[in-house]
Amino acid sequence: MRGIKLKATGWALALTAAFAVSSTAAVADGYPKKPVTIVAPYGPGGASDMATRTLAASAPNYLQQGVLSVNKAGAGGTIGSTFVYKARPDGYTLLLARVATHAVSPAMKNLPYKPMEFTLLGLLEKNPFVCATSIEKPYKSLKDLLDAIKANPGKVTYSSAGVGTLLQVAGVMLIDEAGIPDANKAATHVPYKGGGPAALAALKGEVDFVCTNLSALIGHIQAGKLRALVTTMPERVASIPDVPTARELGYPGLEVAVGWSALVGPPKMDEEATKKWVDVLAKLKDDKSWNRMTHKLGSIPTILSPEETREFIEHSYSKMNALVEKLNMKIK
Amino acid sequence: MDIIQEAFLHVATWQTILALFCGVAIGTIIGAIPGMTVSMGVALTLPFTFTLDPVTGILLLLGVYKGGIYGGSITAIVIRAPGTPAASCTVLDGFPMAQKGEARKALEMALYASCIADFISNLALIFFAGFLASLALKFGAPEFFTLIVFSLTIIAGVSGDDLIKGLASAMLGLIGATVGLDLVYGTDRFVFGVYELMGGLAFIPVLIGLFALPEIINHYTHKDRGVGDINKIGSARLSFAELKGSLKSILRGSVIGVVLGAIPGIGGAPAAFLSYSEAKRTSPNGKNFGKGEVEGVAAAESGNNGVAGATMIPLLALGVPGDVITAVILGAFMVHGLRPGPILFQQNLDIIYALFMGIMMSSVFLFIIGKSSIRMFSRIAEIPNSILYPAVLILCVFGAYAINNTIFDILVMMAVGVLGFGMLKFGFPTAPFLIAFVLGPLLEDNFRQALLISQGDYGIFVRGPICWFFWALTVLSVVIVLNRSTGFLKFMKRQPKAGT
Repeated sequence: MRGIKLKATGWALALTAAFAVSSTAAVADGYPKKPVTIVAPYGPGGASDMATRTLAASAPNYLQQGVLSVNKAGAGGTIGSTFVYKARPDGYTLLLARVATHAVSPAMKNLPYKPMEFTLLGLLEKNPFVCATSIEKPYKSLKDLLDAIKANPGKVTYSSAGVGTLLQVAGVMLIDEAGIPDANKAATHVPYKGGGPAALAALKGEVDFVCTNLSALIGHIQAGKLRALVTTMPERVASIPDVPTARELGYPGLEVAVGWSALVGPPKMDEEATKKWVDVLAKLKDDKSWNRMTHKLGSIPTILSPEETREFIEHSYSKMNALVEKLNMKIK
Repeated sequence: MDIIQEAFLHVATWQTILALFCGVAIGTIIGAIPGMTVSMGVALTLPFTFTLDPVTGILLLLGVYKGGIYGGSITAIVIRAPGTPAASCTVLDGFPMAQKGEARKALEMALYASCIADFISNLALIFFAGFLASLALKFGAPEFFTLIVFSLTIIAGVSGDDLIKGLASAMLGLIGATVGLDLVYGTDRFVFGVYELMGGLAFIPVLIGLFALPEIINHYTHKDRGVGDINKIGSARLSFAELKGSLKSILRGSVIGVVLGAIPGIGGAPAAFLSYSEAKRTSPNGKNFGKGEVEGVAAAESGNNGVAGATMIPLLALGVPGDVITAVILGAFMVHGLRPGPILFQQNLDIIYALFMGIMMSSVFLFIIGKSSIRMFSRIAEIPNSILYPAVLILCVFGAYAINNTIFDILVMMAVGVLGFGMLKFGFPTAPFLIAFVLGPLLEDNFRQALLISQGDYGIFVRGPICWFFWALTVLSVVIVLNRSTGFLKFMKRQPKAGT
């Protein structure tokens, strides 16, 4: 009996140890003295979760310490972001910031955190964005879709991952760019809980179209179930070479509708830790395995310096904010 | 034939078999720890698969998944703290059995029901994937809504003797489910400026608070509690006759699990509850359900394990992850450059077949590992209460914290615990609260999505045969309940006679 118990305890300890430290490395002087936690503000399985895990798998080689990814989901990323915002700025708690937590939500809502007060460490990746419709629907091109929206205001529907997500704003932005008045009411927004269900709704034909990460749709596009109408990347995407870009169709403003992940820390983060992470990200830029995994997940590795990242996020935010103010989409 | 040989070569390596075995073992342990959900377990295991061969890595994750779904039942039975939401239905009969000294019997039934359901679910995945996937695509928001309406009629079945108290309990659950951000407008509901409440009340803290905590409070507020008293030893074992008697419920539960599992977005908990209520309605032991009936455990566990193989159907056949767990598994596919969906069937049929073989093997491993764990877990009942209850309390606190790593969730658990204790004292059943809390958000979301899609036309709720089917079941179910509590049908039959 005692033997069994001890054995069980040993097992449990071994398991915990194996999980706790995803990579062991020599402990150096100074930062980091212990494993670093990166908070993914969404649940397991989504783009932010995968970005955190691929980062946690590769960064320890340069950090000389383990990296733990922790999910703190809820309220469209607000809970995890607020947690890191209020965390001790010692460099041991970081956040995987997303376009929703740092550009879309702040534009639409008063939040418990100020996005630009976070210590920006660097952009990590961009996720090509695409608007698509079921092949059962009559829209053969973006023009068909926009014409239908113009002809029957409010009748065309599109799905999103919820209020305050890029999926919602991108749909509105598409319509607004086409010069259709009252863009947020011209098509009916149907929110779902998460990007997966939103993509599924378009696949089932339950809604007319969806604008979301290419990685969520690529399988359905290649299988001939969904028709991609436009991508928001400046150049054509290699995996869907026939799909026109927003720029080609005359809507370059739509290019701001692109998903991205960045690594950030709490405001006024410890300088040594900040420097260390900027350095780690610079090295990660040439890391083969991180680049390969990020590519395979359908993202484009884009590591930027803290200054470039600030510029990028501010641009992203100001565009969203302008649209939200113009259409009075602010949530009171 | 060549493809099958190739697939066999993928699976028949010691690495793959070891990975699958370890996966099931890890999953069983993770599932048994309150607060460690299966989805966390799968997500934690994911980075280990980055360097493995695709088939090996994905089977490791599938092993964790299957083990976890079963493991959740262990603590549900032994200490009334379900390890996963899907196991919450198992509490209803599992824990009363443990109190009667039949923990071992309940654990054995949970294992057998789980394995049989798991096996059937795997067969469904292999042989009916195409058919079930096309059914899943017909399930839109209105169909979901009608399914959930029907599922809510279960509340009448688990309300005990007092339907009014059951409905009151369900109302409380629905109110709890509305906390958080409004789906359509993004506005705060019952948030009171506390940002942690913006995400709504998390499942696990509420589950633990509702079930385990009142049990502990009750123990310490009883005047006549003996110090160091020992529960009756759980040595009663499951007989073949009992298994045979529950077989019908297990098979029914498996089918319910398979169908609901194949539809993205439903998950194990509703499947368990539907299976349970159907078993209660049709079984000759129906009136004992909720009092420690072994068939109740069988129905709940077959329902939630029937989901496990079937959730792979939308993932493999359509490339659509039906829940968080399959979303993580999708990530594992993608890291290896594989994209589930029709194209995978054309280009990598060997991998699909290899996964099928591995999945079948996982049912066997589940049985072996489950069997050896039962001996250990059923002994928990032998631990003196003076040690067991404080230990359970610590587990509860840990579990509530671990789910989202926030202290706030511990407070939620405690608040719900006090509520649960009050409900226990005043004879309000807790199961209706739970069902309403789990199904409430699904009900609301799908109702509003359907109306947005139809531009406000209520006709959408009767748009097709699936809707009609669930409306008919709902009406039938309500009539049966009314009849049971008021003799409605007898009254109707007597009317014409009075005229002659």
